[in-house]
Amino acid sequence: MATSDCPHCGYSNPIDSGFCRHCGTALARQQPPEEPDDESPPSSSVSAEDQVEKSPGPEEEKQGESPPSRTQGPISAHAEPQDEGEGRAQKTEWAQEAGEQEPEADDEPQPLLGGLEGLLDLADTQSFSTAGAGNPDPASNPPTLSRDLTLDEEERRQLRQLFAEELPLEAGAQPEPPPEDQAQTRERNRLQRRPWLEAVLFMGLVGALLWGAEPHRQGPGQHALPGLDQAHQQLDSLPPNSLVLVNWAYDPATAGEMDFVAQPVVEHLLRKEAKLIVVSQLPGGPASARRVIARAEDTLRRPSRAQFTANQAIEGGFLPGGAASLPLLGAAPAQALPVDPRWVGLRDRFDIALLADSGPALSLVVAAGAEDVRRWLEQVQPYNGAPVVAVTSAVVDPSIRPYLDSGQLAGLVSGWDGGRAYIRRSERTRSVEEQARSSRLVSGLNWGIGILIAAILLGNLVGLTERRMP
Amino acid sequence: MNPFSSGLPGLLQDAGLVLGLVISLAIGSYLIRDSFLARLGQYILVGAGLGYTAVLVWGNVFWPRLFAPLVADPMVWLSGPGSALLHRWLPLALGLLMWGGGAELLRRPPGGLGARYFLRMLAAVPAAILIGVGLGVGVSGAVQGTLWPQLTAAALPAAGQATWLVRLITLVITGGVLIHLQFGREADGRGVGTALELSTGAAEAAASSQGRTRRHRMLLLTPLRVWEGIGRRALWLAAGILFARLALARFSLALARLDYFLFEVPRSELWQLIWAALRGAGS
Repeated sequence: MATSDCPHCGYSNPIDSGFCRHCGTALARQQPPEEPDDESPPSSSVSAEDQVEKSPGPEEEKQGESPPSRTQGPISAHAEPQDEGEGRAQKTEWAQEAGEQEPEADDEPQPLLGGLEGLLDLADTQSFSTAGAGNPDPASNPPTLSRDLTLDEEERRQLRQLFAEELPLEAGAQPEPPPEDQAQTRERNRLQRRPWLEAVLFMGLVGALLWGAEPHRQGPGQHALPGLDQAHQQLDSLPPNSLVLVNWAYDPATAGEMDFVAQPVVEHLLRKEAKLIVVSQLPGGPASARRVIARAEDTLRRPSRAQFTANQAIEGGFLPGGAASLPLLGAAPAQALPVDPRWVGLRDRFDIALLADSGPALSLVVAAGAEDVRRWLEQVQPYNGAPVVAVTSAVVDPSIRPYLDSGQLAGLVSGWDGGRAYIRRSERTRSVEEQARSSRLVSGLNWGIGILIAAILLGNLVGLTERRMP
Repeated sequence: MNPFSSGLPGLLQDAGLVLGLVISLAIGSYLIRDSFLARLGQYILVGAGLGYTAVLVWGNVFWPRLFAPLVADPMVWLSGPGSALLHRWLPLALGLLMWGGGAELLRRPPGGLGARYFLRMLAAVPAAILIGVGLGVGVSGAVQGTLWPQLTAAALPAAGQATWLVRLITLVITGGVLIHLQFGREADGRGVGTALELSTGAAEAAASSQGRTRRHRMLLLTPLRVWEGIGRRALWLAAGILFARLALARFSLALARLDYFLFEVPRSELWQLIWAALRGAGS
């Protein structure tokens, strides 16, 4: 396909384009370089911009004398009989007919957009506004182009560019990007997505889950998990029937990670016969708490487990209102707790009233986000003064470590490695199934991180190699 | 009945597992391409989540804390303390104003002053209370729960906490990051002409007018730039650490889902029944 480069932006346009499809610069007076014409004037090699800067030619003089036609540009571009084939001949005929009708353009209302094959001929909006002003009846005073045109070529170009983004297409027609754009898009997509890399990562994770269940001899050292020992000591020092206020700040979306961290801590609390009052500010929080606590109770009810008293958890319910509702929970928990009367019996109500009198012995924040821990430390702890132990996702750990260092947090268990270390610290014997699952998951996680590092290195290497290639 | 005392019946649990598998696969098919199944899974998820939230809010908040007491004793201020009026009827009035204003905002703006305009004005009252209370609580909480305790801990470290070297490094990095954020290359969005260079350039010009350019550069500008560089690198290091922890958390989620597909679902009785039926139909 013959093309003509725009002198303004260098975009390759079809040879019959009147204006650049990319930036709107007029290509009307350009001669196609691949079709040398002996009759063409020597100035044809001069760019359109240069021509604009020159003294006005006959066409411009005509514009100055009479209202310009909006079809003038394209017509002048296609009126020159240089085309080949039937289509071009038809266009030329059309253009010639239009050229013949040109003098009548002032007398008839003109469409806003006109042109050849979607080529946009500029509609002078000013002329319509001036023509229509003061006379609301368009029939008696048809909109004509303003005689005192003030738009210079640059403004016209910008307007064409603006309008060209919304070129009307035929029904069902799809705008076809030029070959250069397609190649760029392909290249961009190729650089952003690596299906083979994603497949390797996925297969590595599946493989680690299937064949990586060997028990680990050693987990991370205590120095790698600061706060874990303190958390364990806090829970271990609770006397029986201590009231523990639990903020359950994760829902099923993050349960895959959080369940594994929260369950050992909840089991520990239940073994210590603590009384849990569970409240959540997430709609899915109470259901997640229910599931994990039921699972922990099931685990502890098995034979050979320690003596366990059931029904040690009270569902405080869903507490809406975000941070604004938390100070009341710290100062007057009996008023703030949105307990469901169907589930809270008389004895539990007594426990909640006790919570208002003496405050909780411990607050446990089980959170997938740092904001929930921070809110609790800012809005609740200053009022009830109870020590706070946080059980969090791995991503939260760096953000809340300063609270551990300042003593505001009494303990911290984060991530799967934290949960697994807590199980080891609790010296709780686990079933074969539990051990296998735990090993499987932690092994898969280690493999996944290793594969991710390898993927980052490989991806960078491939990117660098491809950048060097021509 | 305590909801923690017993879980769902076994069959319902299994049904949940299989349903979860189906919806997970439907949404996961988005990895291949956007399809009807992927959209359906997302719509089910969003719809079920919103419906569940609505029921939860009604069961936990609206009914037990607002409507049930109002239905039981509408003239609560006569039988109880006067503050009961504030606790019961005022929230309802503010809520109604908010709902009315929200419904009004769904319509075209009113042409002039009238009831609709007045309703819009009144709906701003609960909105303003919400925003004001939220901001007030947030700011006071940040001061009493983060700013002051962290400052105190940094200024008066207890025994066993950070050594003087760690404190010095903390000070250097904190100062460097602050300098970078205030005067660094991206601080003013000008790219090449950096704020630091501009500010130091101005300082340099002022210094040269006093005849002390070289010494000024040696003593002030170079250390300042080095400090800013330390801050910039520390910022990237912190971003890297956060990203690593984020990757760890998200890998945990992906692994838990894979484990669910590969081990939990196949063990459920319902799945084994379905699988046996499929095999029987195939043979």
